[in-house]
Amino acid sequence: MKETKRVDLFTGVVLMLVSVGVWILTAKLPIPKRGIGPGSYPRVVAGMLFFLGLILSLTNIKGVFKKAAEPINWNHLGRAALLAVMSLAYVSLLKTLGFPLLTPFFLFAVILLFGYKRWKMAALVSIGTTAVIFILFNIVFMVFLPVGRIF
Amino acid sequence: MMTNLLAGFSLVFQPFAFLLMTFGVVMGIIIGALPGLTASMGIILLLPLVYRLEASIALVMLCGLFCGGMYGGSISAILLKTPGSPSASATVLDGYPLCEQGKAGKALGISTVSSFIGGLLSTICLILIAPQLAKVALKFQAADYFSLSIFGLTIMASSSGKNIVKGLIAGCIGLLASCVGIDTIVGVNRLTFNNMHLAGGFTLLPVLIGVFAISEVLSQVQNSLHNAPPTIQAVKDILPKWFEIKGILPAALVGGVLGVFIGIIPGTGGAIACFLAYNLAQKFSKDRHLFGKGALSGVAAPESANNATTGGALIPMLCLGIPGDVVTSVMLGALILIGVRPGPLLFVENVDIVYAIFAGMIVIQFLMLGFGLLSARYSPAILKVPYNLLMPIILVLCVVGSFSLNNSIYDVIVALSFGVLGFFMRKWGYPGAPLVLGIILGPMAEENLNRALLVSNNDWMILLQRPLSLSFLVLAAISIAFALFSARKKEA
Repeated sequence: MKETKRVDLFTGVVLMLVSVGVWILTAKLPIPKRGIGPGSYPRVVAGMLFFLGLILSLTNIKGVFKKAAEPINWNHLGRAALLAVMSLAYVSLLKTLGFPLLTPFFLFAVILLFGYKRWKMAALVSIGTTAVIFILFNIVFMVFLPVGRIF
Repeated sequence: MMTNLLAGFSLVFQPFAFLLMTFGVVMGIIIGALPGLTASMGIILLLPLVYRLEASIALVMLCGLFCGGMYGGSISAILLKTPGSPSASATVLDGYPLCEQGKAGKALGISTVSSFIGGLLSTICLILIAPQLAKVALKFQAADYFSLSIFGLTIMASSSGKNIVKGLIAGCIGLLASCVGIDTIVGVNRLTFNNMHLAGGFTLLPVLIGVFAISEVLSQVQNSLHNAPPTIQAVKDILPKWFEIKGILPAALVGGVLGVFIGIIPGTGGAIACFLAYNLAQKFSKDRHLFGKGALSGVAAPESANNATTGGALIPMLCLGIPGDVVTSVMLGALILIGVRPGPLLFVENVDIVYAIFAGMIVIQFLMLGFGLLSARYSPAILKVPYNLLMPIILVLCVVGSFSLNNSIYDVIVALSFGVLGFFMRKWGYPGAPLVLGIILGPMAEENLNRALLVSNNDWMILLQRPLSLSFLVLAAISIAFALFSARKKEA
C-alpha cells in the first residue's frame, strides 16, 4: 500500500513536469485569429494533466514520509525489464541480421525466460514458429519481413 | 432494410467470407477461454490478415472473434474458477460450483445457449437501433461532435478503473499522444523534437498492440514461473434439456436486455453487465437460495448479458465512431486501417458494409452456438496450452504485426514503448482503455472544436447553445460526479 502511495506521489510529480514541458514546447506555435491554434489544444490537455498530477500527489503525500518507508521492490520487475530490453535489442537487430536468422534465437531465449524447462521442445518451437510466420507473411500476406544485410 | 439485409446475407454466405467468419468465431472461443488472452488481443494478432481483406469480410471475421471471445471467457470461468476475460467474472460464481458437482458439461451447455440468446437479442437491437441513431447523428455539428468526444472520454475514464483520477490521467496521456505530429489545422510540427518519424504521429495500431498485447506478455513473464498445469475434470452431458432451457429463459432474457443497454454506453462493457445481470437474476429468481451454489440461472444471466454487450457496443462505434469498450476500440483501429471511417456517414456511403455486419452478427450467433456445444467436450485440452510457449509466440506476432502495418521498424518501437508504458499502467492501476480512447478521440475533439470556433467566430458559448452539445457536456459532468460520488461511498 505504502509502495503504491509512493509510486503515485512520484507519478504525480512526473506528470506535472511533463505537462510543464508540453506547455513550454508549445509556447512558440502560431496562434490564429479565429479557431484554436496548434498549441492551444495540447496546452489545455497539459493543464488538465498538471491538475490531475497535483491531485494524485496531494492525495498520496499524507503518510508517505511519516515513517521510514519500505524501499520500492524493483526485483520483481527484473524479468519484465529483461524481456523489454531483449525485445528492443531484437527489434534493433532485425534489419541487420534478418527475421529468419534472429527470431529462433530470440524466441528460444524468451521461452527460457518464461521458465519453460524442455530445451529440445523450446528449440523446436522456436524454429518451427519462425518458419511458419516467415512463410505465412512472405507468401500469404505478402509482407516481406527483413531478411538481413549480412548475407 | 430487408433488401440490404438480404444483400448482407448473400455476402456473408460467400464461401470465403463464411470460412473466415467461422475462423473468427473459433479463434475467439479459444482466445477467450485462455485467461490473460482477450478478444482485443485476438484482433490485434489478426491485424496483418485483416488489412489484406475486403472491408466487409474483415469486419465479419472480427465480429466473430468479438462474440466468440466474449463467450469463450466462460469456459475457464467454469472449469478453472478463473474467468478467461473480465466479462466472465460473474460466471465463476455459479459455474464453478456446478463444475465441482460434476456438472461442468451442463454449465458449459447453459452458458453456450445463454450466450446465444444474449447475442441474438443484441443483434436484433443493433439492427433496429443503429440506423435510427445514425440518422440522428447525421444532424450533428462540430460543437456536438466535440462535446460527444468529451463525453466519451469522461465516461470511459470514470467507469474503467477503481480510481477516477487515474482513469482521467490515462485519458489525458492519450490526448497528449494524439497531439504528437504535424498538426492538422495549420500544418506545423508539434511535440516532434524535430524527429522525422514523430512528425507522422503515433499510428493507432502499434499503440493498441503495445497497450493491450505486449503489456500483457510483460505482465505474464513475472507470473510464468508459478504457473502449474491445471487439473480439469472431464466434460460430459453438454446439451441442456428443454425444461432446463425453459428454466433459464427469464434470466437469459433479462440479462440480454440489460447487456444491450449497458453495451451501448461507451466505456462500460461486459464486466459491468455480467454482475448487474447476476444480481438482477438473483433478486427475481424463485430459487435465489441456490445462487452461488450452482444455479443454472446464475450462469445464464451473466453469460447472456456479456454477449449482449457485443451488439450494444457496436452501436456507438458504427454510428458515432466512439467505441463502446476495449474490443470495439481495437476494432475501430482495424476499421481505420482498412480505410473505413465509422460514423453516421458509414450508413450512407457504405451501406453494404453495415448490413454485412448485421447479417454476419446473426450468423455468428448460430456459429457460436454450434461450435460452443460441439467444442465444449474438448475445452479442457484448450486450457492446458502451456503459457510459457504461447506468450513468446504472441510477442513475436506482436512485433511482426506492428512491422507489417507500414514495413517499418519505427512502428515496432512505438508498440514496444507503449507496451512498457501499458505494463507500468497496469501494474500501478491505470486503465489502458482511456489512453487508447484519448488517442482515437483526441483528433476528433480538436478538429471539431476548431471548426465550431471558426463557425462561431471564437464564441465558446456555441458549445452551450446547441442542445445536443449541451446535453453531452452535462452527461460528461454527471458521469464524473457520479464516479466521484461512488468512489467516496466506497471509501466510507
